[in-house]
Amino acid sequence: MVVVFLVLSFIRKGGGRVNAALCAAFLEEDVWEGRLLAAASPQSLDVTECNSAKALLKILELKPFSLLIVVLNGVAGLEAVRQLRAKAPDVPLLWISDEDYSLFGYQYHVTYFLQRPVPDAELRDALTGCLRLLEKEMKK
Amino acid sequence: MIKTIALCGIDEEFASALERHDEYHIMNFFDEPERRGDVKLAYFLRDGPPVALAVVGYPGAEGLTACDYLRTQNSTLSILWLCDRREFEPEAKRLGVSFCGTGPPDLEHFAAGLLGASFKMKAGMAVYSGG
Repeated sequence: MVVVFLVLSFIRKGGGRVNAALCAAFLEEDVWEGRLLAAASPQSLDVTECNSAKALLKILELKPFSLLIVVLNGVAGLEAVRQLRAKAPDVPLLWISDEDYSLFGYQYHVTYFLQRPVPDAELRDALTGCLRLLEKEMKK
Repeated sequence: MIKTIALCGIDEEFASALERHDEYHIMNFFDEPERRGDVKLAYFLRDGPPVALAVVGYPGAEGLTACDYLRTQNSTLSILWLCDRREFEPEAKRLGVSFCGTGPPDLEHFAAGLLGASFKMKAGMAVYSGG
């Protein structure tokens, strides 16, 4: 109990780093990483980047992540989310796409679905929501 | 008995081309501000007379959402999805929906071909590949 409290305090103070995996289209990953780091502030994120669901699934086999972020357009994003959910059903997942897949987001228990273009405030809200959920999970 | 084909997300011009074939009863469910065509179609499937085939004409994610919704409402209904994006074909297959790639270059010809093929097709099979 005491340990959990200390961990949560650490995270709230910005001392703890959340281990996040970002799957974004080629040449977009750095832009999204920058936006995510800014949106998460003062919380720190450790972001591992990749460009495809296949790569992300491989990385997931090597180490666990506290947060998954998929920024892939069209059916590629849907396929990535489906595969991720099969592999990691309980990890908070943020899905950003160019089309409205919100119903599929609901179907696959995605924590937040955002349709592009995504304003900074919306990204911050979604990320904060994911981090809150993460805290709740840790409390459990 | 005349078979009913229900359409949603289909433009009026194509619906008219289908209506010219007297052997089928064509019902087109248009989008309205307060209710989408696929939702109206789902209600019709529940409350109305039997439908032999539902044709979905929305493109991309919108079409996939409509197909998924209709399949959820009715697991045995024959559904044909007209979509101009080939990458959605596996998703259609997953839902047991027949996929028709690309838009029709010749409406009249396409309508005749569609009606001819519609009752022979099996779920998940592509019945037409337009150029």
